[in-house]
Amino acid sequence: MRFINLSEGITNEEYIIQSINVDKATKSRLQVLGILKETKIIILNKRINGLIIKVRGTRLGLDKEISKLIKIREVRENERVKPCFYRKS
Amino acid sequence: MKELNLAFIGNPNCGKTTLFNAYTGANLKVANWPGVTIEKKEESFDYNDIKINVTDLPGIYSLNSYSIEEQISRKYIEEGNADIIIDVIDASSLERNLYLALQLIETGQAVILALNMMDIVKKRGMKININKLEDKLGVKIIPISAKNRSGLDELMETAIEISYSNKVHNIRVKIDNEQDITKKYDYISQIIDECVENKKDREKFTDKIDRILVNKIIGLPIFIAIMSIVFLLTFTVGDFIKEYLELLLELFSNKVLYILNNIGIGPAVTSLIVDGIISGVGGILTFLPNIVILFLCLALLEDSGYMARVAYIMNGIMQKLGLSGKACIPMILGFGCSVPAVMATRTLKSEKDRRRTMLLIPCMSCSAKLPIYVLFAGLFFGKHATIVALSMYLIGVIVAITIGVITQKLDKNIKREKLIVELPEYKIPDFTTVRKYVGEKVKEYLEKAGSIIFIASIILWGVLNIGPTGFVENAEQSFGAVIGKLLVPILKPIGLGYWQIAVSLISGLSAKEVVVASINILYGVETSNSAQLYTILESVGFESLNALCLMIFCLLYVPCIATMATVKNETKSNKFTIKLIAFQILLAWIVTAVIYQILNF
Repeated sequence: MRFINLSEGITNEEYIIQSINVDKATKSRLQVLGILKETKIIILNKRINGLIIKVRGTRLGLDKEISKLIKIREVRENERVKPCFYRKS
Repeated sequence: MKELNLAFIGNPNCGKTTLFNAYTGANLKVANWPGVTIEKKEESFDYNDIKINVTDLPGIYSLNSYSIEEQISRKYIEEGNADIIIDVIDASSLERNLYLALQLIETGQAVILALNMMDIVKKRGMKININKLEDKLGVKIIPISAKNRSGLDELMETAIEISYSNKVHNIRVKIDNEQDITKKYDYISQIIDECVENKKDREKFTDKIDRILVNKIIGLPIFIAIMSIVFLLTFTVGDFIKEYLELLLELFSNKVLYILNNIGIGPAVTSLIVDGIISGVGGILTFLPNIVILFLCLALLEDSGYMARVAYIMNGIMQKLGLSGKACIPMILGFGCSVPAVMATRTLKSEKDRRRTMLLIPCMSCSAKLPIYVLFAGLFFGKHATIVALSMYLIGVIVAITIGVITQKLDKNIKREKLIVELPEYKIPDFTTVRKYVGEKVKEYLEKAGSIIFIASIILWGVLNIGPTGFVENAEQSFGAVIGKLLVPILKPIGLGYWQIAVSLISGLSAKEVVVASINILYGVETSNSAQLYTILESVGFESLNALCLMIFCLLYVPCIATMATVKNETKSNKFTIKLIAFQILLAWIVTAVIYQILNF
């Protein structure tokens, strides 16, 4: 499975978060918003300096610097069944 | 009488303040962006012979104390101030909201979940199985709609009921580590799977609008266009109505003069009332239409959900100033009034970012500076008046950007806060919310006219009519002239070397509108008779360039006393406040001097 940076993702595509390598404070802020490993996200919009993702039913605007440090992967076919959110045990 | 202490807690923008207002009849500001409430507010009301004290806490995502707001809420809970915590949950964003709910339940405190925005949930065709959710979480859950005031009685009755059975617990707030958070969200997703049906996304409305408003290419131009339209409307429509108000005021002033003369009131008192109070306060009231339109536009921006998008769109530009896009929200609020704008900097995480934003806020022309622009642009720039007035806003923004870039270059240790902002769903602005918001601002403006401007007008009249020799016929011999003339040499290089202007600039420290009120009094102009003011000013060699300089100086020099006091309160630093004041005066002088000297060449 190929990992890419969140900043390289394509708009309106679903992805699954693989790792978050930002500084500790930012990471904590992301975590309480439910941005965790294995969380499913959709990229809604991309701009030069940031992007909007949808995670757990909410839209979040993120700095590009953050999105460069989050690794994501594409959603597998068998993971597509559950809408909004999916976590593998 | 039994007393019950309730605390409203919940994620930002979930409707806590709407609920608080619904219960208490308070008029606290609500809007559609995360972080509107920055201070905890308390109110009491009686419910079935029980005194209910409610506290509205700022919105938080967790109890892990990352931000000032979270620390306030966390401390409040730890101290056991509340008998029962009402966790207000945005049901349309249930999954994320449940994280805080789990943390709250874990504290051991009595918690009730108020499932707000059920109307939106229903509209979306989503179904939440409340009974099952209660089973899973082990707490009472009451579906409500704070906006439509449904479920409010049930919520209050449940709180009272629980208060009888509830024993005091050991309250313990735990800080979650990564593992804890993951565990909680695991559990939440399991709950969502079991309790929520049809969670298909139906918020296509917001996504469609966003495709245009935050578009990669046209997003920023649209934002600039929206702000331009806001100010254009403020000036054009506002001025249109203003003309009629001026006529009305002139009639009133003449009537008062006629009555006072007829009932034999002495000339000194007549002069105080007509030349002092009516001319000063009345002159300010004619600007009310401009103010109403400005705040109406800001209210629409705030309540529609666009405000948070501005933070996102502007993130790139703010990055160049070493700030996060979030700093843009206080700056936009600054177009209304600097006081709430300075307070809104609390949403920024670092003290340094807050102070740097406070440095930029005064450059955003607040509504009090509007009368100055309207008056002087109107007098001296004829049909270009609107463009000149609009350019003041642009100059302010350019100066702010310049300051931002320079301070960022000077300070090598700036660690820019990275933007993470929740973007709420768009909604049609709520009529009541907008009406209350504008109503509140109009009230503030009238109160200001009735207090600060009223008193300033009387003092000014006194300063101009009394001199070292006692009552003076000619204002040239008054105390006002003595003080003003001291400043003339300093103001001369910036084209404002008139003692009257000096006095009006000093009086403008109380409130910026006072500059206009005082100029009317200083030059002995009858109520808002702008033609007369123009003739007088022209006769002393005050021309369009001087008017431009006056506008620019007013734009940039020290903000009003209320703003300075707020800066002092928020930063708890006299040193910073004094530095800010000195900086603003110097900045205003330099910018105006450069412009005056270049254009006068």
